[in-house]
Amino acid sequence: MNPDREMVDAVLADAPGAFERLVRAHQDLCWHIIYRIVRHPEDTRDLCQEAFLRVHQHLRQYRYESKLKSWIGRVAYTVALRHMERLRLPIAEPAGNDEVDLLDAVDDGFDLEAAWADEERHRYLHTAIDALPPLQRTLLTLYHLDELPIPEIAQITGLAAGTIKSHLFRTRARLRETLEGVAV
Amino acid sequence: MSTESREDELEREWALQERALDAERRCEAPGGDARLQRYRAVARALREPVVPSLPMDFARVVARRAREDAARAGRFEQRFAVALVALLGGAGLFFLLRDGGAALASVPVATNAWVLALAACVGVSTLAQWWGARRYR
Repeated sequence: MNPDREMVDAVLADAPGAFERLVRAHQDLCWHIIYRIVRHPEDTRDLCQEAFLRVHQHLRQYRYESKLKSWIGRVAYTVALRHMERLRLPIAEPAGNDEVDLLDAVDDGFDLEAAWADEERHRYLHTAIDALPPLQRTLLTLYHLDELPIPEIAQITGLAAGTIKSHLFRTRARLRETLEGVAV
Repeated sequence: MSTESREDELEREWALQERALDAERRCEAPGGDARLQRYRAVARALREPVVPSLPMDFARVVARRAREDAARAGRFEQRFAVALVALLGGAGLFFLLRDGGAALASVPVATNAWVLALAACVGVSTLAQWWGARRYR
């Protein structure tokens, strides 16, 4: 039996511990999606809880048209987007602003000479990643850390596969450029 | 630069990014040119766990909350259904007592017996279903 179907059936039949298992299996993905967008641990925890309560409430509407992971990811993504909308915060940088130099975001108080050391270079790169707009940060995390293929990321975010590939390509190139002045 | 060569260049750069990601996934030894090394450093940083992370008992807490919410919603639905049935029954009884005497008298006895039999069948079937569901739980 399909593991997704098995898990969903168990939750719908109210089997003991079934929903807890479902949460445990997908909580990292939800955390990554929401934290990368919201960037506030307390809010992220509350929003993760909200996302899973919605999953529990609407699980009967899941039609197995995508993987359960993608469906839950989509719920988490929507919850995070609504939160950003409520706070009137943008999740993507304005169109035509792709060439913004990430060095601008990390230059303040950062010593390029010291970045020769491994630890410093590491910190430098993470500062650059943190300085990315929420959407780009989320796409990179889903692709690199959660190892989701582009079509699944498309199902979660509702973006076209080509758009996702373009974001990944440009953002990785920009991050690589930030390392140009730093030894690797 | 022609469009084709520009596209080729982008395709090569994408392939380099993917090669760096693949090398990091396979934990390959460092190697290749500086450009690949930089992409590998980017891929390595992006594969690091997101900190902070969720509390250890998050799944248990959420599952308990979901159960409580579902029970609360179920209780509300049950009470609402009982209230509606009581309202409907009360209204039916009221109109039956007020205006139903003549109507009941006009119904032939045989029809009444069939109606009673049908009601008995429906009642037994519903009770059997309810009992079965209760045992299954």
